[in-house]
Amino acid sequence: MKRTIICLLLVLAISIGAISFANAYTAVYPYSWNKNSLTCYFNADILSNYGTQISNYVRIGVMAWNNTDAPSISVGTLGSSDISVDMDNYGYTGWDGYNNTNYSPSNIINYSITYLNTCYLSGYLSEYNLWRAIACHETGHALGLNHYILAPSETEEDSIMKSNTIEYYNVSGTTKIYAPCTPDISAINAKY
Amino acid sequence: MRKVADYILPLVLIVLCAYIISDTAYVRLIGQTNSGDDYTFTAQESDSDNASASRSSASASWTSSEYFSNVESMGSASEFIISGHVVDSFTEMRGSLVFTHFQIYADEIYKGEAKNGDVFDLLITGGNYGDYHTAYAEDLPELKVDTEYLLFLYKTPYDERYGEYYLVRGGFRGIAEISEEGYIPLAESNASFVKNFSEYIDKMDYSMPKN
Repeated sequence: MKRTIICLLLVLAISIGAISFANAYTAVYPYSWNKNSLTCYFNADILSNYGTQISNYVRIGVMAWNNTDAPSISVGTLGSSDISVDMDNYGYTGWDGYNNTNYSPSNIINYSITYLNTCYLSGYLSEYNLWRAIACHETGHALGLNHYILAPSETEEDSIMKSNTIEYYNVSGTTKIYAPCTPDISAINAKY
Repeated sequence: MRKVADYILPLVLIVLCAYIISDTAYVRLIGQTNSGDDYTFTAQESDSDNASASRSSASASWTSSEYFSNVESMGSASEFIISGHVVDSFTEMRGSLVFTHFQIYADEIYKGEAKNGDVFDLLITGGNYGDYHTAYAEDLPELKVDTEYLLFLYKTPYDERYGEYYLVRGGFRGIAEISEEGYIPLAESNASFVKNFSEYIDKMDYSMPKN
C-alpha cells in the first residue's frame, strides 16, 4: 500500500510539473506538406505595382522558413507552384495578410495561396521589413502553423505567428520581427 | 494476491498518468485544430471529383489598427454595439478572393446612433461566388442564419471601389454568439475576450440610454 501511495505521489508530481512548466506556444494545424521541397509563385503584379524592393523583401519573408526543418521553398512559376503570393489593395477587410490553404482529407496540403493587403499600410510601402514580416507570417500558415497562443499567466515570447500584425511588427514601435522565432521554429520542427 | 495487487495498482496508475500527460502534450501540440472546418474547396478547380475530395482551411492575420488588449478599449472604439441576426447575404469578388456581406438585423442597440430593426451590412472574408470559393478564417467563420450575435462594429471609410460597410471591431474579437447560456466565442482563440462580454454589456445596459 505504501508503495502505491509513493508511486501515486510521484506520478502526480510529474504530471503537475509537466503542466505548470508548459510555455506559451505556436499552435499547429493538423495538415502538412508531404514533400521536402516546395515552389512558390510570386505574382508578377507585386514587382510591377510595388517595385523591386518590396518584391525582394516579400520573397525573403517567404524563404525565411528555409532556416527550419520545413520543406525548402524555392521560386516557382505560375500554374505549377505549391504556394502562390498575391499583393493588392483589397480594401477595408480587417486584415493585412490572408492565407488560404487547401488540403486533402488525409491532411496533406495540396496548395496554398497568400494574399497581402496594402489597404491599411499603404503609407508604409517603403517599410520593406513590414511586408517581409507579413509574408513570413502567412507562409507560416501555408506550412501548417496556426497562431501563437498565450495564456494569461504565461510569459510572452517573440513570435512571427502572433495574430495581429502590430504584435510582431509595430511600424511605430520597437517590436520588429520578420523571421520565425523560437516557438515558431519549435512548432515547425516538431511538425516536419 | 495482495502482492500482485501491490504491483498491478501502481502500474495501472502509472499508465493512466502517462496517458494523461501524453494527451495534454498532444492537445498543446495540436493547439487550435480546425475541427468542424469542413469547407469544400472549389476555387479554380475544374475537376469536381478532386474538389469534393478535398477541403480547405484559412488563417488570417489582422491589421494592426484592429488590436485591442481588452473589451473596454474595443467597446470605446466601436461605433455600434448591437445584438442581431442574419437576414440575408450576398458575395463579391476582390481579385480572386470572395467576400460575404451579411445583412444583420439589429434586435437591440447597446451603443450607437441606430434603432432596433436597422440593418447593418457586415463584411466578412470568405464565401462562394460562382465557381470561386474562399474559406472563412477559423477565427471569424461564416455567420449562421437564425442565430443571434453580439457585435462590436465600425463603419469603414468610403472606398470608391467597394463603398462603405461595417466590419467587426478587433478583427475577430468583437463578435460572439448569443445563447441561453450566455455569450459563446466563435473560435477558441477568442474565449478569453468573450468571457468579459457579459459584464461589459450589463454595465452598458444600465449606463447608456437605449433607443
